[in-house]
Amino acid sequence: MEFAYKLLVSPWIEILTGPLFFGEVVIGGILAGVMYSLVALGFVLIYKASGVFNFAQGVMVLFAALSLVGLMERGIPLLPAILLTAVIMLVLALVIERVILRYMVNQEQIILFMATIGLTFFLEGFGEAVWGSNVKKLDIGIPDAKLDVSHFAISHAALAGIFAAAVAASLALTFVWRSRAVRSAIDTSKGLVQPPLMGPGTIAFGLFGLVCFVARFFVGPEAAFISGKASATAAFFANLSWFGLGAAALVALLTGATWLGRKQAAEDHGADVPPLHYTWFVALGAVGTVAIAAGVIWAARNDILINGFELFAAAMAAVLVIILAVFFQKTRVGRALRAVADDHAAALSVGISLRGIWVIVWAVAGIVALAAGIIWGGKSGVQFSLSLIALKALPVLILGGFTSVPGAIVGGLIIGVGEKVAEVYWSPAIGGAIENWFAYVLALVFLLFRPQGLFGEKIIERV
Amino acid sequence: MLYREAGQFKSSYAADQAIFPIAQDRVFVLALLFAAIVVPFALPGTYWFNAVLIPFMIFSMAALGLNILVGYCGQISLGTGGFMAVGAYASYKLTTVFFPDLGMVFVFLLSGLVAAAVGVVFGLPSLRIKGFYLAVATLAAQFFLTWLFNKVPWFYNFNSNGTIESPPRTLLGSIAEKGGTFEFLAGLNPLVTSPRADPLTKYLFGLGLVVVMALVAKNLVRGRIGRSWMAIRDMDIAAELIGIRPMQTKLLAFAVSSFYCGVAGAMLLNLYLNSAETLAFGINESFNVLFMVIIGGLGTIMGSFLGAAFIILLPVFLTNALPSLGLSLDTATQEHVRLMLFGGLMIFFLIVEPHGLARLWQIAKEKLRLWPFPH
Repeated sequence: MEFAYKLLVSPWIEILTGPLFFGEVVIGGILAGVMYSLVALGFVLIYKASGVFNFAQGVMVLFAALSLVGLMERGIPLLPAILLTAVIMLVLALVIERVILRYMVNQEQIILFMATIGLTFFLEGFGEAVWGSNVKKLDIGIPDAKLDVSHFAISHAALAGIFAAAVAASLALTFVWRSRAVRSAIDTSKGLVQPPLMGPGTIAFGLFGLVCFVARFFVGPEAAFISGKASATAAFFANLSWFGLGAAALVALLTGATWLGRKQAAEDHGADVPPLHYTWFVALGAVGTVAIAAGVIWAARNDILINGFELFAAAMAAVLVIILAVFFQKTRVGRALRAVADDHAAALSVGISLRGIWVIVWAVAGIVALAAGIIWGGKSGVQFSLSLIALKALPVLILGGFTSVPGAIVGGLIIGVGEKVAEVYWSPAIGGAIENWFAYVLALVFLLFRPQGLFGEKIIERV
Repeated sequence: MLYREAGQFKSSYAADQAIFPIAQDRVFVLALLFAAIVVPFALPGTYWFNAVLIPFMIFSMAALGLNILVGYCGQISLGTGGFMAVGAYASYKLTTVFFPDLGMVFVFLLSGLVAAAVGVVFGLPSLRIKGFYLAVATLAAQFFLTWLFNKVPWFYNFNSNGTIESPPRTLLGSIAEKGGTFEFLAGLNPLVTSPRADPLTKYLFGLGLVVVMALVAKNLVRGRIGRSWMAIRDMDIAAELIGIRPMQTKLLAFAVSSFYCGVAGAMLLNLYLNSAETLAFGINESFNVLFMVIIGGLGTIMGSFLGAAFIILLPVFLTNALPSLGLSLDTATQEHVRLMLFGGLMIFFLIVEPHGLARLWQIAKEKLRLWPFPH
């Protein structure tokens, strides 16, 4: 009984009575999740372009970090050392293509997977033989400490205003995105698919939210009948009601968006949907950035623990993802990469060199590994255990889908947050140290509902 | 010249469908078995037993199990280490708490059954998840099981150091002692487990288990069950359409595979390590066994043995061969060179023969059939 209470009841009470601490845990989880995403990103790039499940990604992170530290130990300053390491990763990609991939075209996936495990052993031995196997420190000049915001002179009112505006903007993004999705779903199916305004799950969630909100007025602070625990109970119900209001509002927002999408689709009369103009994304991205910045400053002022180094890592990851997105969407090579990812044979037939693409994609994965290596190495030192983060990235992959870049990012965030929250609130009930397997079980539960991951391509089976 | 089947006529279906229909094969296998039993008696010391022979038996068993799942049923699993841990912990609990008088043969089989039950539970996702998604999902089994055995003290009998140890037990237990059913065996029934047992006895015990289990596996995979596994492997939807039930078939594959892995885990604890923590059943074991299956050859019983031999012998060979080449390296560098060679050879073998050593064996036999006149 007590076990069930600890498992099912007390964590929720803790979350709702201490929302600031919960926020801290979530932020820590997001920042850790960004790093998982970075490693998972390398996997996804390679899997998309060459169908190779690259187990060596983790050891590539180690190898890149080892090379970087090795070069810096020989007196090369940080920036040239990073560039040189990038060149090393490029050469590594070339060699891998020359020596391994070239001879393994058309092999079964599991054989290629095993070959990358062989590569893992080789790179591990090679990296440590060349650069030494002792634990090294990677210093990139960002202190690993609490973020200091005392030198930002912004008034609280302005901060709150920016924050509110940005939250409103991101709600608008949700609204537009949802109505768009509904509209194009109806249009592409020629009206066969008509998403209901509210599904049973949505209705249940909304009602639950309303109940939570209303509960406050009946058993809220005024009705705090448990003496001694009165303040905790009051806080619990106050926060519960805010959560309920949020849930109900979200349901209302989504319902409105669905309604709009259906109305627009009815007016399209089967015409193609005009694509969402990307100034939308630019504008919303800018607002989102401002929102995050305002939120971070606000949080740091209110003594929520935000680690400066992790923040830097998150920013770096975001920049990397944006560069990759532009590279994939706007360049010739990027287009070729997407073509190969879509269909190898068709890409070959229009004259795209598969081997060239493989080199490029392994090199890009190598550079992503370098970024991950800088961040992880700077955080916890460069040592063998760095290659084990590959094991952390695997549940991220199956959660997000092997073939989806956004999936890797969102999956990383979910795993990061879920892991931290579970570790803090649930692990006392079941004996601690659940970090090792929790991510896997979380991913497994997701998989039972969506076997191709959150964003993976739908698996179509034909006989 | 030597390897010709010309003139060997079969006059019954049974003879035609024998596991080794060719007389030379039968002779070869029997000779090999004979050598496997006799030669170890002449081996000096315990090095060979502890470094090569006993691990070879254990990992052949594990590779057999994984080959049934991956090679025959097409469900990639990375949870082998976890299932081996189940077998090992089950054998520990059985010998120390539940049935202290039971013979080791029965303990091993019971441990296998426990592992099979756990395997079925962790095989359930395979009904919905396929390919690499499944592979990663089975890692959940690996991490969860080892965590469980670490965290719940009941599994290691509330020891202060958290390890499990192999108790001294005999092959057949109390039924072979005075007053039991098989009393006449009592005189020649030494210990088979714990550090006090003779490595030769342990090896012979392991050999017996592996031979019997390999025979069972061979007959499973060439019968109705094996055919349904292979149908699921080759195309599960088509298999379903011709009337094979995916759930029963996949779960049976998980159960049988985990049974073998569980027995292998019990062997690892009782015949080889003598005392172990969950560390011994880590993810590296899972990868190693998968390596054995792939290097040996997916979907071949022979390949499980060849792969196990290769992966067991390669590190032994590298450790012994490197110093004798006249390279005087310090231990750290030696370890790195060993890793590099191991990885490099792995890739090399996968490039040269992706269908594994069993395929090489086949090719050798085909060549031998024509030798010395290739046309």
